[in-house]
Order: sequence, then C-alpha cells, then structure tokens
Amino acid sequence: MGSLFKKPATLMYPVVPREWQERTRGHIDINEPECILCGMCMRKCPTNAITVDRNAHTWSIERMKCIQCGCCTYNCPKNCLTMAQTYTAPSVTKTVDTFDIPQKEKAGSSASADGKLQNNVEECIYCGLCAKNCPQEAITVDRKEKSWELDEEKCVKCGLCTEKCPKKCLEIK
Amino acid sequence: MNCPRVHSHLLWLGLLADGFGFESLFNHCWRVRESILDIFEETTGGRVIFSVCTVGGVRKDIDNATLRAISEKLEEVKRETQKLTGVFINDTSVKNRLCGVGYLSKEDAVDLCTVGPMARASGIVQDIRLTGNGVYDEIGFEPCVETAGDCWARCKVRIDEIYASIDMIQTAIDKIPDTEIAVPVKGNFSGEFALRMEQPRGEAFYYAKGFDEPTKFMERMRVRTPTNMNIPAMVKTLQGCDLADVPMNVLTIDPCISCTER
Repeated sequence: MGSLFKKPATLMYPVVPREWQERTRGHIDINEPECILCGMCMRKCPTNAITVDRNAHTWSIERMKCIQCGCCTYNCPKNCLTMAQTYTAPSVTKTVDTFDIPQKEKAGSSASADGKLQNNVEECIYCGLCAKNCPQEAITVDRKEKSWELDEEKCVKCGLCTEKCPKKCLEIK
Repeated sequence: MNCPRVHSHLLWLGLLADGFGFESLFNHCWRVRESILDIFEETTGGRVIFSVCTVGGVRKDIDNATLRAISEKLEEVKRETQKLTGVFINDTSVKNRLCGVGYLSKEDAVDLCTVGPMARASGIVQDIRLTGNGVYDEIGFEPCVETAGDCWARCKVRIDEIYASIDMIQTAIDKIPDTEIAVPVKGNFSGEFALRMEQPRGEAFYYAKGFDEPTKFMERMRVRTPTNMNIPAMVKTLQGCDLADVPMNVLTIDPCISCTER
C-alpha cells in the first residue's frame, strides 16, 4: 500500500541520466600516444577481443567480445589502457573500434621513443630467463658461450625481461 | 560469499513470489536486491560478474569508509526484508500455496543426496560452513534448520539465512584485519586438489588437477554444482503433485539451470 504514495524506485532512464560508480567496469579506453604496440593486451585477452597491428599502427577492440575483465589494463606495461565506466552502446552490428597509434619519433624501432633495452653484462649470469619470457623471442642467450644478444627490431620494450631478471641487470633506457 | 548469498536468496524470493503470481511482492524483493547489487558494483565494478578473484587473493581492496557504508546499507536491507518476511511467512494466500506442498521427508532427503536449504528444511543439519573452512568460526555461524520439509519450510530457511548472512557480514566488517589483499604465488603446480564450499543453493564441489610434472596448465577442472544434486529431490516432490504445484516444486530447489552439469 505504501508503494502508491512513495516515489518510484526505478530511474526514469534515459531522461534521468544514470550515475555510474567509480569502479564500474564499462568499456576499455586507450591513451594512444602512450601505446608502444607491444601486443601484451592482445596476448592476455581471454576472448581475443583486441588486435594490435604493428605494421598498420592500429589498436582495435571488438566491443561485443570484450568481457570487461580488465586483464589488458593490468598487463599493459605502459598503463595506457583504462577501464571506463559507461557500458558499450547497444548496436545491431558487432562494433569494432580501431584507434590509430601515432608513430614515435625515434628511428631504429617502430615502438617506443623511450630508449632501448640494455644488459649490464658484468652482472649477467646467462640464466636465460629473459629469453624464455620474452613474448617476441627477441633475446638469445647461450650459457656455454656466455653470450646475450638482442634483436632490436623485434624488441617492443614491454619490460617483461627486466622484471624477470634475477640479477636486475636489464634496463630500458 | 555472504553478500552473494543475500543476493541469491532475495532473487529467489522474488522468483517464488512470481511463481505463485504475487507480482508486486516479486518486484519488492528485487527492489531490495538492488541495494546489494549497488554494493557489488561499488566494490567490484560489476553487478553480477565480479572479476575480483585472483590466484592468491583478491584484486581490489575496500577502504574502511566503504565498509561502514556497506554495514549501514545492510541495516536498511534488513529492515526492508523484515517487511517482506511478514508476507512470506504469515500471509494466508502465500501459505495456501506453500504449506504442505512438495513434502520431502528427512529419510528421502538423505537418500537422494539433497544439499543446501533443501536438505536443511527437511531437518538435516548439513552446512559446509560448519566444517571450519573460511573464518566462519570467528564470525559466529549457526545453520538455519526447519523440520516441516515442505516449500514453506524451505522459504523460511532461506529467509533466516538472509538475516544470518547480514549479521555475519556486519561482524566480519568489524573484525576484518588491515592486511594484504593477496599473497604472491610463484611457480607451477602439479597434483590434484578438491574443495567443498557452501554456495547459496547448497554444497558445491570444486576439483582441479594438474599434470604429473609441474606446469602452468591444468589437466582438468570440474565444478559440481548444488542444483545438480537437488534434481532427484525435485523429481521426487513432483510425483503425484497438482499441476498448480509444479512451479512451486521446481522453484523450491532454487534451480540454476545453466549451472546444471557444467
């Protein structure tokens, strides 16, 4: 009976806009200038919703495949992916949003202008963890020959090797 | 785990009311449930899918101000639920649809391996929270048991569990320590592990098996859900019942059809 005299519990959406909570997982946003096209998000996405094309310099996401889990945001080495609050707009077609990633100025690599991966060979113990964890297989380590080689063309400066190195002798500078 | 339990039981109460045609009661139950969904969205980011569990703990922390706000919101939920309880337990038209319907004796419940509120309403004191996993011994837990064994008793058990869960959440909020939210887990795994947990619908059984040599991959993962265990009991209660009682008997096990045989 009281319901007759109280105001409705429902929101008169869309006339009254919805107030989103701070942590609401709505959709993924990308900060294009920071992206280094390393492709970590593409590898970690459980539904393969993200496509990173290094040659075309684009980052695209299939909105209907994205499950808003946030894995890409946790794994991005440059923290350029964020979870925004508003839900993907309804659509009759499967929306694919493509973003152009601006080319970085430094020559020699199509990725970040942040410098290159360097190894302090005096500390290096040639354990090979960097090579095993490199998603691009850009590092070659030979324990017997005590050699450490980097293919700079392949390196995307994701920083995984620097995290895995037990001697902390790898640095991107 | 207890917030989803409150949510699940409120959802079920709404569906039960919808099942016997009491649409306005259904809408009121779901209106109260919206407060719980707001709590989920505030803390995890999602209303039904949370995505906060990780190996070693949880991903997101909750600060003290939010915990206090949750506690106050739950007081409001408790007050609202008390108004609904009166209708479910005492209203004549509701009792006509629930009392004596779908009777399951204690012996049948044991033979048919019923779990959760379905078993507790037939007098079986069975709740995985009594086995000591989790912190239930610290926040105080008593299982809610009825003996009538009919749909009304199952409704009463679930309503009692809502209040019990709200009390446990508030106790946990008072006692929660200010420590890490996750522990680092390194290395690969092998072997097998099994765990039983008390979900809102009953006992769920989780089984994970790795390979013989430690790897980062699992060989097998299986979840046996409680709805699966309660289906034989539902079939037993459906035998010889009136046509109008069929929705009551089906709803009374709190069926999650999508969970059945995952």
